Amino acid sequence: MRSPNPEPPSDLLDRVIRRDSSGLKAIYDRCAGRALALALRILRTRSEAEEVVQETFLEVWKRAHEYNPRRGGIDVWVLTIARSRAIDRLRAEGAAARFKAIATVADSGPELSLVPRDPAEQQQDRARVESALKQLPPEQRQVVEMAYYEGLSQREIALRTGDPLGTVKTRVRLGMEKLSRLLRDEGVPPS
Amino acid sequence: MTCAEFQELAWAYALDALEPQERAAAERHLSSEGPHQGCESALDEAYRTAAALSATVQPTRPDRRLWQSIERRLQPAQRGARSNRQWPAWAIAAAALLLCSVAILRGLALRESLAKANRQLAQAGNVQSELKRCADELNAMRQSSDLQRSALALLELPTTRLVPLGPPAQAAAASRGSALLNLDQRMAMVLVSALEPQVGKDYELWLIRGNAKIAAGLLRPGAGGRAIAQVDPRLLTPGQPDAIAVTLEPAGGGEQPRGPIVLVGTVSKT
Repeated sequence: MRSPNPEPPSDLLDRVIRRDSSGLKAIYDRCAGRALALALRILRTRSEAEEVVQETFLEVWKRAHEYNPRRGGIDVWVLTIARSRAIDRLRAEGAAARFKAIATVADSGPELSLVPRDPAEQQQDRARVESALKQLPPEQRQVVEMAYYEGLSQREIALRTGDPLGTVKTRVRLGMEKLSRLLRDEGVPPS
Repeated sequence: MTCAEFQELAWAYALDALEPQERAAAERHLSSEGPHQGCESALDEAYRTAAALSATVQPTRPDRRLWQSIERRLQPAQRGARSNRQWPAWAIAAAALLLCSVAILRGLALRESLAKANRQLAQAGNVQSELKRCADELNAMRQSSDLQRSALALLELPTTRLVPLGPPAQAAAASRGSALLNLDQRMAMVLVSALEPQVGKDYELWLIRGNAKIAAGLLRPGAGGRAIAQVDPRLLTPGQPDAIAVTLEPAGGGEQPRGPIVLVGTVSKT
């Protein structure tokens, strides 16, 4: 279970829509760790990642009524916002220059403190997604990861890898199609 | 773009890996009247798949102060309603400055407002109104974030041209603006600031070609007089406009300009 007494996500959002900050805090407690980790993976600096998390939850606060459950659970929505804001920031600063500068920096700095242990369900989800990714052909996995975690466009990926743009586009499409099938087979829930 | 073509792009769309023009084309298709053959559901699946990738990230424990920072940035009115505590002026000033400090990260435009806020804080000491103004401005920025992203993407295109918009020579208004114009992609966006909202009037955008003045929509300034608008691509089909202008019109605007020009910029022939 994700928590001992999980409140239905729709109730949390209702509270946010009613301008009850305790609803936002509950969503924050549930998602902030992953939102921060995702922003950190994309941006590589803790201060920027924390700013992205702030922006993310302020956006949840203002746009709670726009949540679309067809595109996944609240966690998915929050993480999608966090990733978008991180990528906005990355692109605004010039992705190419930035990645040259940080190419030798490790994924996470020594100041990071990891949550000691994830809830079991999160660990299972992670294992399933990683398993699905490993089943992709390496060239498809590479482009999917570059697009998702580095915020690179298909054209930028082609420039980075030296592959023709058409090849990159095909790999992204085939990789995502296969990943979608594999995740369904693995039973990864939408949130 | 056909539905099948859109569905091929949907995966990259959900990953935000399309080039701006591809993304714009995809969005045009998605917003076009149907019938669509599974476009929405294809996009939903693509979003869910992309989002599942976030599960591979090992959660990082946020600093306790992070939530406190977020809580401070929630609507001040809500906090005020819950507490009768009178905040000291220095605390309000600090919060106003914090809000402005965060807002500045959103871009150069807000940097101007911070400087203005600081000047006004120093001069008038009216921290409460400044706090509200900053919060309103931040809200307006968030609401227009999609358009801002489109503008940023447009600006990144090497063939996009920047057309500065300013008041006519005889006017002394503080309003300023820019038009981003990309005829290759048939895209144009207009960003303005310091437009004073006027009761019973609207600001209207015009594309000017020769003697023809083509109405291109209303600009509704938010707090800070900031507005951002995307020009209907169909208005760019005839080619490059000679000039772009903003006028102040009776509410609702019209097909021909009647009011004074507030901003204008000439599009060079290159």
